[in-house]
Amino acid sequence: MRSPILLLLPIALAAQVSFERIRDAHREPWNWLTYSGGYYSQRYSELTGIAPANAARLDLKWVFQASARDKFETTPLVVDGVMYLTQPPNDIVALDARTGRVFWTFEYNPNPRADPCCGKINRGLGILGGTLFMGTIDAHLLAIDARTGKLLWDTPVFDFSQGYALTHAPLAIKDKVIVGTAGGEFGIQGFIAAYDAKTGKEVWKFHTIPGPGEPGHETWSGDSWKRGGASIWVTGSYDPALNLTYWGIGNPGPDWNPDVRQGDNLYSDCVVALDADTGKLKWHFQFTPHDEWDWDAVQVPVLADMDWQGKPRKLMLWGNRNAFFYVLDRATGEFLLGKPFAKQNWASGLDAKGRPVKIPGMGPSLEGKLVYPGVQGATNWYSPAFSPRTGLFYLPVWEDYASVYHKFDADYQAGKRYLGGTPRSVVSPTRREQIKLWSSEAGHGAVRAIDPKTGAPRWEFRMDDVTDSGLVATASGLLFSGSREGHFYALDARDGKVLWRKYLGGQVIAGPVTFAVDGKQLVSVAAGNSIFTFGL
Amino acid sequence: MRAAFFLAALCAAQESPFNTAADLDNGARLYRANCGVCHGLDGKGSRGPDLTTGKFRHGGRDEDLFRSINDGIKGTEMPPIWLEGRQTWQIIAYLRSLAARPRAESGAGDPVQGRAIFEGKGGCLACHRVGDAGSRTGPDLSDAGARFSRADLERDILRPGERVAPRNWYIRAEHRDGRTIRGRRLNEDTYSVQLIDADERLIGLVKADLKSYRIVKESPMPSYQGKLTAAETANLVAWLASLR
Repeated sequence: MRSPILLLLPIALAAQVSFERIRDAHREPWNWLTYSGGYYSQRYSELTGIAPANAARLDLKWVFQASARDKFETTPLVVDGVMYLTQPPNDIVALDARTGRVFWTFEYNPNPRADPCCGKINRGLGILGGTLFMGTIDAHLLAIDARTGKLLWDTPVFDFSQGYALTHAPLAIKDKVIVGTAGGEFGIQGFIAAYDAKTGKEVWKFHTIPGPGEPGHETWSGDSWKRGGASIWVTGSYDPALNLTYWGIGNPGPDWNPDVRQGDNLYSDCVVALDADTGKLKWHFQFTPHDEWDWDAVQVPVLADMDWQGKPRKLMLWGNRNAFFYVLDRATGEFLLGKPFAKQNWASGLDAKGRPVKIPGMGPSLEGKLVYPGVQGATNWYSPAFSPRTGLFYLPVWEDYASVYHKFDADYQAGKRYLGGTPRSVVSPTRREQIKLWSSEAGHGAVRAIDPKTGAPRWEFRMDDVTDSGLVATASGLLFSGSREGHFYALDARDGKVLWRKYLGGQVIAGPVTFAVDGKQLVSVAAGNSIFTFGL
Repeated sequence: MRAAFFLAALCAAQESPFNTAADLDNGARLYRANCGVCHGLDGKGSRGPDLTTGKFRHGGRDEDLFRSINDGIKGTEMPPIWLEGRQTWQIIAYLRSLAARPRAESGAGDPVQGRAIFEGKGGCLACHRVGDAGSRTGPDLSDAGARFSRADLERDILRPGERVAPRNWYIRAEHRDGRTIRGRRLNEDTYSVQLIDADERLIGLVKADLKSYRIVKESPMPSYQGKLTAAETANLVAWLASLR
């Protein structure tokens, strides 16, 4: 039996998650300190307790049944034996990662009129020092004491009634906490902003649509920039050596009527590299200029240091909703490689700078235009993973999936949906149907392993239904994934073979996390309304 | 819950405020873009029900229609249609105009004689169910008149393979134990399939236990072309159209 002092020590540490600890998160793989497991957002764990040789023995350890009133998209944080998660819309739960028993809950009641597209959901938390940070669906940023669940500060970020909302997990860097606004379906003007972690005061703000006089403003015809969307749905990444933070930016509005916003519509559908201290733009890369299909760059930027054509290079790996996989130089934004990873019929390819060569006539129309990929994209916000051990990039994919895109007039009213059309597809966009009648020919899910050096697929694990699940890779050679059907998988990261699976009965619409308590590795995933935790 | 719900609540017991000719035109356009895929460009139904009868199964008041369009209809394939409130009202105005048109096709055929064919010569009850009579293995036709236009019903009788909804697809499987299993597919995932067989048994199959497995998207229904006279077909259509 341990001494009381040793038992207390981890709890004392839990109160102080310094910037340095987050920066070096790979050195304490028993914890999960950011939404994507570390600033590089690889969702890669150094833990090796659960391995291909023993994964078949994985067993249920505990279940936490949340009072989730909407899609349960939370990714937990784990800090020295304490798990922090959100339950929709905006509650925080701190629980014992050994047993699933609750230490405290924090309940926030967002304004009942807050009704973001698409769902009253939350994807998770940030932590810095002893403080948790959460964005709310009525566009507040909250700081909460990680020991007690007490509210420390509450900063209204913007007016929710105009369609602004915060749904992603905040990213803490140095002494700041960074969030971006959702609301791209409401004609908002998107932004990413940093707040002082101690006081909640705004430190910098980057407008994702350039205002008059700013470079890029000319990429919006007329005054369309005022309603151009370009929102933020998932947490960004950070390179401490370059001091750059990277964020994927959402679609231009109105989604499906591009006629009213001629031009490339910067910085919609871009990744931007911002100075973490000032928010100043260092570079941008636009995946889908003048987007006509709602293909947000709503993906987590995955950072990797790899040899590129014989030389070490700082890379960014990106499987985009538009069905192309990209490799960029993250110091400069230079396009290095791009290849389609799923069926698409809208572009004949990418040019030397990575700009898509669009096939004419594939935009939405009144009668409807059948386009691959469909509106949810060939992938979406579901977190990918990268394993430095296998050198492979793992991506949740929707294959053979199309929508018929219809266009109609777009009339802007503040706080109302500003869409300009509608897509139709056989596959349900986000929700699992209890009865699934369409066949996988209309679209199916897969986990694909891509070799970043060539963009070529290495292996595929195919599912019957589509998938909304994120991934996590481990140093032991495992890849964990869930599925919309409600299965949870341990795959062999080398070849995609199923080593273990369990039917959890609820849609997995979040990423799994892995951590260790008392030296024993566990893996947790949200499915349906519950968190399921497995170990050996 | 969506903003539309609150808008609907605010507009409760209110009739469509958008009834001008311009509203109707816009409603027609919006209908084609948003509703026509399932309810047919003429509103007479295909995958979704006929909307030209003036009767709506989930409530026929303007506020009911508003709610059905905005929130979708739980337990059906009707999804929420995200539109501006004004646009939703314009669609409702257009639906009212459809229902007000004379139904040229009504009145043809004798439903009483049609029923006799359905239950006798046609042998339809061997697969279909109406009320508490017949088999559960084929599509239930208890409310066929509410869901399908007369043209659709006639087509399904004469050319049943032309339109087979996924809910009517069949499974043909060979089990490792030697059994051949055939039934209407109720649900499916990567590892299993759920069905109802010809003896009306609910069967769950694990795909790993099967030697072969196939989704049959063709209709198992025989064509009645040449088996029924034109008058008999019209009578049968009249009977089915009367089922609501």
